[in-house]
Amino acid sequence: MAGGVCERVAAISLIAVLLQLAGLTLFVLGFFPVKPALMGIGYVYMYVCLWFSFSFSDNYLSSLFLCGFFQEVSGITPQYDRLIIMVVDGLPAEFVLGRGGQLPPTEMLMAMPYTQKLLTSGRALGFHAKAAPPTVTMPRLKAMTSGAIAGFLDVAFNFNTQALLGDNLISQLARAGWQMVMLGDETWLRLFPNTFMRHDGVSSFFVKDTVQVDHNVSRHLDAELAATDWDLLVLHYLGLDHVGHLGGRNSPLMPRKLKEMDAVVQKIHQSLTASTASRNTLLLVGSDHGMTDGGNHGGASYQETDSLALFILGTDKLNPSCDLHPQILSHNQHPNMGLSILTSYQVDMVPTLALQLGVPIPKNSVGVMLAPLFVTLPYNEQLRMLELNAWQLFRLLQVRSPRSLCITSLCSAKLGSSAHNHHFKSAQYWGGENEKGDQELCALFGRAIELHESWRHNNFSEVRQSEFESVHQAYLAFLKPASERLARGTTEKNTVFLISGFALMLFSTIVLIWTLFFINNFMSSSSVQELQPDTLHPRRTGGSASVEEIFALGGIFIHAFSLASSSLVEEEQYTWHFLLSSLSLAFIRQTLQSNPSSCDSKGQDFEMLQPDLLLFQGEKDVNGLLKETEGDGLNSDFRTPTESLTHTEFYWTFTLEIFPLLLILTTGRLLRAWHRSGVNWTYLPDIAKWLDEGNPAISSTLTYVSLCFVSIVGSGLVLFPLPKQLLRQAIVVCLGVATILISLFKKLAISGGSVNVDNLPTLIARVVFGVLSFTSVSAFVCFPWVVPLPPRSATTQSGCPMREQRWDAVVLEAGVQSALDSIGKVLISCWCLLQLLLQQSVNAGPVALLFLQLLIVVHYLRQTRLRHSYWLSVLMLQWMGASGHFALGNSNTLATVDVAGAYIGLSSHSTVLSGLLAFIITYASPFLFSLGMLLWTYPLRTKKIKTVVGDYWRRPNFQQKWQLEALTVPCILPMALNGVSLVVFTAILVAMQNHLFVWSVFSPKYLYFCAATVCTSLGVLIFAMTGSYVRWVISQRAHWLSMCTK
Amino acid sequence: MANEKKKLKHIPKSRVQILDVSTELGRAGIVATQVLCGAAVVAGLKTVPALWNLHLITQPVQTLQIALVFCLFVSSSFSCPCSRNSSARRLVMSAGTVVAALVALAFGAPTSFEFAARTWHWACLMSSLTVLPAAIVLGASWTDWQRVFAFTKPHGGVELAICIPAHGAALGAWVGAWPMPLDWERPWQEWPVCCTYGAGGGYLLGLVVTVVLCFVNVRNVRPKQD
Repeated sequence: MAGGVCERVAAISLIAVLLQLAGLTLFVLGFFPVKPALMGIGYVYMYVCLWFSFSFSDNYLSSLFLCGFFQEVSGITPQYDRLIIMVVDGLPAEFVLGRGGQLPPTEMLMAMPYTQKLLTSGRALGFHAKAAPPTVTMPRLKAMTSGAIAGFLDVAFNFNTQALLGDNLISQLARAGWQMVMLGDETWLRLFPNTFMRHDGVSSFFVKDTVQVDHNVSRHLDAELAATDWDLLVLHYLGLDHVGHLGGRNSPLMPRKLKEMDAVVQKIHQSLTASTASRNTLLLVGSDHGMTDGGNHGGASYQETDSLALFILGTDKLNPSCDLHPQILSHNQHPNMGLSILTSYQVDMVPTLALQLGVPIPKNSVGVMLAPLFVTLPYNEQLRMLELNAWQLFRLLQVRSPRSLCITSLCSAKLGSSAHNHHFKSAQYWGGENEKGDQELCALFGRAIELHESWRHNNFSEVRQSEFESVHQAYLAFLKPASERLARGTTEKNTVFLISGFALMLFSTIVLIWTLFFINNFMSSSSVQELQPDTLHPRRTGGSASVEEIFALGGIFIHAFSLASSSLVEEEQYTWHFLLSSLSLAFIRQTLQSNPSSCDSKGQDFEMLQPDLLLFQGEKDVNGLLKETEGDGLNSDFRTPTESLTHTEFYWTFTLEIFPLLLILTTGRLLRAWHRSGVNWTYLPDIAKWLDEGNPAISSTLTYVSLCFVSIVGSGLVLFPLPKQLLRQAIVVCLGVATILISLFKKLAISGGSVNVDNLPTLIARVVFGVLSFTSVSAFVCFPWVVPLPPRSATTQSGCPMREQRWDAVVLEAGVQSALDSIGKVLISCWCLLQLLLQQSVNAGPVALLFLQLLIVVHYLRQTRLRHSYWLSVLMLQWMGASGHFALGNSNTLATVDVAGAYIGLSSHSTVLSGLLAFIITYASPFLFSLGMLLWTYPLRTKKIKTVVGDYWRRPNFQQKWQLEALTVPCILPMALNGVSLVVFTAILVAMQNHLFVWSVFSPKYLYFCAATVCTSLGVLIFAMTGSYVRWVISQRAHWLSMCTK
Repeated sequence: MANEKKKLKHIPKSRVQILDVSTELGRAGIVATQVLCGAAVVAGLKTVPALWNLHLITQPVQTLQIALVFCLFVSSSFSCPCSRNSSARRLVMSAGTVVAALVALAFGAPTSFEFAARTWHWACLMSSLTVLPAAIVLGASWTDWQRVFAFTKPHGGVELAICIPAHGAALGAWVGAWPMPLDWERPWQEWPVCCTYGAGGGYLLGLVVTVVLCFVNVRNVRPKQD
């Protein structure tokens, strides 16, 4: 075993980690493709469609090549020539239209009297517009304007809004020469740069501001309504979303905000009806998404996707008699005085508006026109519109499945003859699942076209209700399933990317696991084993794995395969808590195996324990240990276990060992109860809700107590070993300053209210960031240099002089361990303080509990380390990190990402910084436990050193082996664990790609997996950096020391 | 049946004697005990409650009470009724119940009051299935308890008959908890219904395994004895 094993292992695992990341990237690119979109603008396809559809009737053929004007070609006249889009961010349709035929809650009804009046009088038509997940603003706005269901990865770019390049309504209108004004969320400006002639963008940045954002929109309203130079006015109100984020659906601010929105609707509507301008203006009040009870959004639950589309038609001057109103009234008014439920998809707005305004339907729109809005038009126009919509969707279908025989055959049939039915039948023998769906759609489409054709031929002028109905129905029968199919997005994935990504991940995981086995074998290779099998390799001597190990291994796979069930993905927190509790129970069982009286190998474990209690104090005892070792000689002080421990001592140690486990179980249960998390049982009470609803004094007290706890315990841990060291004192002072600042920040946040954006909290938060990062970096840099090393003089003074090599080994091992320990303590304290600053105040308790849990588990693992395999301890830390992730209120839906916290300390919008903060908040717990591994590096072999120390440390390989296990396993194992679950879940995702929940459950989880992979890699990177840096410094120092003494 | 019970009366505490008894009992005795236990669990959880129109899903507490009565009755088949350590047995039983309830809570059983009775009765049942027979047979010997439960190394048939079903019941309850977070919205997913079924199933499986092991292991036991 020549030198460099350590380096080689490190290099191999580094490559494996990089491969894992590369594979993941490839897979994500392959699995979440940008959907094949039609480039260009919605003219070309119109030509094609018109060519198809009018090849039968030659009326329009001549005009086809002349037409630059859509209206002329399409044969429909626009109903409106002016549009006001009023987007109320986050307004659930339930607030206006009620749910399931029920009227909305009374307070909501009372809050929006004017809108309700419009609805009941039939001057408005409201739809439940089901939004597609992810229900966040930017993708929703894209969907509302382009009609396309955005690719899943658009979520990742939510912070980073970019111009919408695809065909969309706004650019169509701009091309038609419309003048536009935009007031409100500046996302619009980023989506459509240089489109609006006047704009006042507000930022959705200060989530705590619920008043000013809306005032900034409304202040222009009077002037704009008086102006006549615009054709499209976009108003985007953010306040309601902010109210939701702050206080949830039932926030006391909500009715007030709704009243404000109602007043805006009233103002616009009245000004429109009062104005004398002879323009037909449509007012569309819509929302981009709904919100959960807690006010969050992003997921796919009914509450989040239930957005509103309210078409207010009262300004329709083309129909002054308003003969549409009775019909609309009948739609609105339910027999039992409730509101009928008109459901639609959010994207349906796009073709509807396009047809109403007389512009081409955007090419990638998957929506279906909202037929109830067109009932007043003549039959032939209605059918014409349906036909246009049908052709547009059919064209999209053709792009989505280019290999579908029936679609191509239908197209060619249209071109050639009308005998396309034969082609359908011949095509039916080909293709699989997709093809079957395509064929059904083809048949429906063919039928609708045919009916329409015959209708047109038979009674072009004559109006016949029943025949019209049948054509109408036939079109809708095609449009609805076609739209749903397109929305589901069964796009062809990039198979090469998928396979290569999966293969890379699999390969890297195999390499990582192989490396672990290699290390394992290397550690237990004969030269060491024969000397001291128990010490270096603390597994039970029998060689067979213990119950805990089998369970842990099984647990890895149980968790990985549990993700195949959508419910267990949604409720992953239960899985982790269950597994962690079970592992703790297995440890308790193992502890119960220890025995005071029996003299078998178990007794020796307790013999190990005593010096550890000393060691826990850190570096102080490095000296002590050495002196002890020297003073005692090599073997003189070896007592038999039975002598060393009396019964009382045994029970004391026994209790000491059981107690941490019980504490872990208790704190774990408490953490589990803090947030209900998950999807299905979120309504059940939990501690966070109790704190939110209860006395605010309790929750603020809890915040301060947690802060004090973390700060005092952290400072104590840092200071305790060597209170007189200057560096430690300085670090404690820094931690203290940070604590005071954080408490000040919290005080301002609690008392300051939500009205004003003050600079002071931002400033404080920035100072805290600075102090904490300075503290951690200086601890990282300085500690290896100031950690006391065992003095060489002390060792040489005593009777038996130490050998060179042995001294080196002691210095290296003791120095590295104590330096890592000190750095780790500083880092976890800083991390927890940072979390206390960033997390919501209900999460202060869990942060403190996680801190406590980490300390307990490190203590426990140190105490009993000789009985556990190294990997088992690392795995325990990993599991606790994963379990704690959910205890902080996270879940596998995107809705729980804490957006409000991501802006703390920022004064201007920065995608990178706010993304980083959101990442820090979300991955608080896994990262904390990754840092915790610094605290628990492979500890000194204490008592055993006395017995076999001479031979043992003289081994040439010793240093290398120690480094190999202590410094590389904590790096490799987390990545390997992550790799296993990643590979399994990737396979599951591929297998589930046609599952109903693939976009709402599995894909968000996959994004979380990606982020978790990044988090694990970062944790591992920090460990590796710290480890190698510390090792380098200590070996340098040891070298200099030996030079000096010589 | 009575015959076996009589033989079981004189179960001594030391390990060697247990071996003697087990061989003396023979396979038949153990099989009979196991069949009795299995019948009691099935009857207590399913048959008898059904007679009174009770069901674990709808009336968990009452059903658990009935099951408990049966299990207690069967456990007494491990010892003579006039055994002097009945108070000790009660102590072990209640301690086991407390521990089982705490474990259930630690694993995530609901803490609200409406579930308290169910948790408690479930814990009683678990206690009677796992620790009560052990308390009767092993008495207060820490070494034996440790050997059976911490090491899972039962010596002889009787300890086997205690150990395997007890572990089966615990593991069964563990496995039984897994369907609980699924969103099937079935009434049996409520706590503690599926854990009880799991425990019962695991226990029955344990009984079968015990019988099988008895037949396999008897040969291994005898040479040791010699």
